[in-house]
Amino acid sequence: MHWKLHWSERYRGAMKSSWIGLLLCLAAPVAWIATLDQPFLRRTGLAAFVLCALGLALLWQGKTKDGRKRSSVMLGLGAAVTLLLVLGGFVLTRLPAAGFSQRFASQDAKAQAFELPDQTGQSVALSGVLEKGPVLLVFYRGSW
Amino acid sequence: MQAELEKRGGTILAISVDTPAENLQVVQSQKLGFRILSDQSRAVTSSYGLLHEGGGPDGGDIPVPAMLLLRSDASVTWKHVSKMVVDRVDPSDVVAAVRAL
Repeated sequence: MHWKLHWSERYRGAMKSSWIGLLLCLAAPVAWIATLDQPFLRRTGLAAFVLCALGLALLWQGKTKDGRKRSSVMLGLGAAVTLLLVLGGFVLTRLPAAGFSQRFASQDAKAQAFELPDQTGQSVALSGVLEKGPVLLVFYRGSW
Repeated sequence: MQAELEKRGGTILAISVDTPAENLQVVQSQKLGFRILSDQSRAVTSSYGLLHEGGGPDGGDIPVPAMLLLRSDASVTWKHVSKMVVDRVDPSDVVAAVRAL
């Protein structure tokens, strides 16, 4: 009787840390999205990775205390979320910026002339606008 | 940013690969005080080395977000290109570049 009670309580405590750990890992992507307005946090994903670290620590603690398969699976899930965040944040969302950097690497690189229609259909030549003064060109990904 | 630029006789030109009609909608809904040019053929985007092939939501080719500040002789005095999808320029950097014109 006594040892049974002892073990079930031990499991329960361990499962609790596993669940909290998993929740922290799942909250990490949300934390990254919520901090996109902060340039440093947006670039580093720090808020998300702090949550992941805490979550993984709890999941590890749960696994070592519990020792059952369920806690190992939960640890695996937490690790998968962390890995996806690393991949998504730093690998999959990398943009091909090398072409631009090469083109404008030299100090005396000049912008190529072009002529394109504006939102009213009126043709706009860069050279014509430059005659009036400096120009800030903004390339953006478009609206969808 | 725009005010600082206009004080120096400057102009903002945005470039997208959408149609002029779509750009008109953006200008009106965001109440933009500058023009958006339409580079549907991607020729200009490519010539600036900014084409992200297959980067669009439906696998289309779209630009990498970038900004260039040009002096009247078309020389590039300041530039920024995003290396990651979430990477955007800090507006205060642009203002500093404009003030240094």
